[in-house]
Amino acid sequence: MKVFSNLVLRKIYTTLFLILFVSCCSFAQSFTASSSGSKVGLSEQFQVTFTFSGEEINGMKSFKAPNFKDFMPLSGPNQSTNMTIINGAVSASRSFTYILQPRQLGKFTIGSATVDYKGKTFQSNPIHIEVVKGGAQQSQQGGGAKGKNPKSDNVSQKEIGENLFIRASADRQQVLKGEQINVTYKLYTRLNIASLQVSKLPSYPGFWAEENEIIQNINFTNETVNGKQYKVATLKKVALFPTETGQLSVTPFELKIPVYVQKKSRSNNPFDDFFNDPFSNRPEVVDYTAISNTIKVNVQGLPQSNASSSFTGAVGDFSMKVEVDKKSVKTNEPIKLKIKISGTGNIKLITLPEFDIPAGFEKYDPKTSDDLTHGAKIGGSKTAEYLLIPRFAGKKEIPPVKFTFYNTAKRQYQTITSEGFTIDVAQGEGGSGSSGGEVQMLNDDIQYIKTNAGDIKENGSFAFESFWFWLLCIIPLAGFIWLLIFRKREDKLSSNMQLLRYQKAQKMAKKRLKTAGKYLASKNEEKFYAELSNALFGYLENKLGIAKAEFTLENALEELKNRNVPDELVEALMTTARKCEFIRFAPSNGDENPMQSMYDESVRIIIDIEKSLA
Amino acid sequence: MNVMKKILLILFVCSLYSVKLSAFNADSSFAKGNEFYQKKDYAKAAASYKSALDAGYAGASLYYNLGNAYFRDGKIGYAILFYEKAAKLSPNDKDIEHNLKIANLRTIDKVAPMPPFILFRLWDKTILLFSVAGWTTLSFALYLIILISAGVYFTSHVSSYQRVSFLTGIITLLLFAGSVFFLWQRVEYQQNRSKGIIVVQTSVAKLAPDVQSKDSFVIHEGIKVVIEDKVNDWLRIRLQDGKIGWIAVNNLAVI
Repeated sequence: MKVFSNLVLRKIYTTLFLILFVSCCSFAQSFTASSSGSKVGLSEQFQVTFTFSGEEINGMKSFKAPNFKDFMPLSGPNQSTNMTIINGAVSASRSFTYILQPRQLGKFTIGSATVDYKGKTFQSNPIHIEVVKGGAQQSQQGGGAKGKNPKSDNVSQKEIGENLFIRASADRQQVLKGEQINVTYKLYTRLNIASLQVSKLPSYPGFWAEENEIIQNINFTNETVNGKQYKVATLKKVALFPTETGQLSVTPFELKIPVYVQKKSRSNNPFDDFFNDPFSNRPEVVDYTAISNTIKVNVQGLPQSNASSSFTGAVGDFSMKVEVDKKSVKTNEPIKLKIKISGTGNIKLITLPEFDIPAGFEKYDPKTSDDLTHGAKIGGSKTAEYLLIPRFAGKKEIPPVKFTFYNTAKRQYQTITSEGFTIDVAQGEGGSGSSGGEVQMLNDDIQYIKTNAGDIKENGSFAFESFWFWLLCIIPLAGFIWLLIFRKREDKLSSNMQLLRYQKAQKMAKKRLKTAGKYLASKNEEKFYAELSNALFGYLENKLGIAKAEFTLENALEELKNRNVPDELVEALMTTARKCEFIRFAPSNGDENPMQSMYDESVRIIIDIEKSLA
Repeated sequence: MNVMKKILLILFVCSLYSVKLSAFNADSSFAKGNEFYQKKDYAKAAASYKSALDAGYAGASLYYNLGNAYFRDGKIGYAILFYEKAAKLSPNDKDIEHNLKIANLRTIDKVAPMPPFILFRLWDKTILLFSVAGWTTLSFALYLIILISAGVYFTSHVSSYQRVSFLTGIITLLLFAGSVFFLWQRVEYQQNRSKGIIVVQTSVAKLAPDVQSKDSFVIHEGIKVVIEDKVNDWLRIRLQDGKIGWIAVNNLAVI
């Protein structure tokens, strides 16, 4: 029995305790989760709050938030603690608040959060959230405090959408590849809007896009659409050039636009007006995301049939200019060749035409430049500047450059041909073909062989090494030497004769004087004087080396003076010689003395001259 | 006078005979070569010209024609070699100059030559103004003028004749000295064997005259090099751009 009673007693206690405990739990401790709404818009923020209530709030520890995998936490956890004393009973609560934003559309569950309290673990209830497109019509829930949330506006997204939208329009839906399409983005509004904020720019896959004009300021004009007046502004004007064929589309343009909306009064609640604060009538700002329509373009390929080989994809209307900076150069001097294509069309997608260079020229990679002009029709110019270096002299032809494009106005291919150039290349300084690399086959060829064998002779023999050369040298030299010797001998011979005469002079004079003496004895006056003058002049002739034909008394006297014969002797000679000549041609009559004295005088003079010349 | 006439006659006959004797063989080989060349049988033409060379004859036209035959036969190295040889004998020949230029364009390597110093170029130009025969003739003419003016000077008793002949003699003597000097230089130039042409298709220049030595550079047929030294079967060569290496003797032919 005792055992029984013990059992019963224990059961009673346990039951009592359990009752007590459970009441305590259910009454004093709770851990709940709540959200600001079960339906939220994709772009909306909402709050999730986990609240723990209990007597001793400080006993709560280690709060663990659930995993918000489908939502993006923007802030939290923000803690707040409340204390309430009702009839002496103290109750406290602590809440953890998160602000979340949905990531995607759909229905999601936020899992349980946990806390430990006095060794026990409490779990919160899971919350179900439905994420809807745009701004969800919020269920009117909660009191005044919740109503202040800006998200819980009473202007529907649909309503805004009717009054504020972006329209993209293309000027054509059917184009050829490379043809220009103009796309305009316009903003239509009947609402007050604040500054625009681009959230997504359109993308143009399969196009080369170029903005026609960059819009700096948005200017609104009035336009009526479907009987409603809108303020309209052009946001963007883009020119598109398809680079592919087929159905191409342009992704929408998205703008985030803050809209000022007037709050509607809640007519169903008479107290609202009373409780509403006086500022509730001021406009509220609502963020609205405006998305443009998607443009679809059907792109067709260009006609294949008569596309020329020089067609490189240019579509539009173009002109070409080809220039060379000079037409006559020297070898190794660079020439600049400029190809410029200008006009309207897909200028950036153009490949510049190639051209052939004449043999003997080197072509370097061109310097290219683009110049784009914006406007209703996109155009501009594309320039390539080639550097050509002639390596060989001659007249060289640069053939004409061909450029083909598809003329969109005429709907046909059009080929432009430039003029050709004739370059006059003169031989410049320095060797030709000095550049490295492969040498081109030239038109220049070697000269023909020589047919005159006149210069072929035995190897290594120079003219001056031959015997004949030296013989030829010696012959004139020998002649010259012979001439010299001959001349010398002749000179010597003539000088010897003079010497002989010189040596003989005295002897001859003596001989003649002796004959004269005979005539003196026989008193033959005429013959005496003749012989005497002969002796005197003959002596002078021989002694002084004067030829008989050239002899005059004056010559002889001059010569004597030159040979340093004393003046009185020369004087005496002159007197005697004159006297002798005079008497010889004008004889006197028989006076003996002058003959004798003349004879003595002549002998004395000859002896004296002989002495002074010795 | 009679003796003089006899001597001249003998000299004339001798000279005629000697020319006849030396030109006989070479002339026919030359003509035969030209015939083959005309028939576009360039290998045979080259062989024919070569036979004249081997017989010990030389001449700018022979070298030139042989160069042409080699050129047409595709042997650029030998073509350049013989053009260079022809140019050495006849430096101012436009045909030789032209063909040498064309042949040089066909070589694989392009070695940029260093531009020579202007004075050296001027010096070379003066030396190459005349051939050896030209300088010899000039010297001989000046020599005759010297003899004549000396003869006049020593035999004439008229003083004005003496003055003129003396002046002429002195000036001519100076010119003669210059002419002989240039003749000597010209002969030196012609006998200069310090330059060569690579005649094999590819030649590997080594850093040292040794087969095991490291390679310095590779040159191809037709390149003109300066020979600086010789060790056994190796030649030390210098390229026109200054590179130096050793190559085997048989890779090169001296100009």
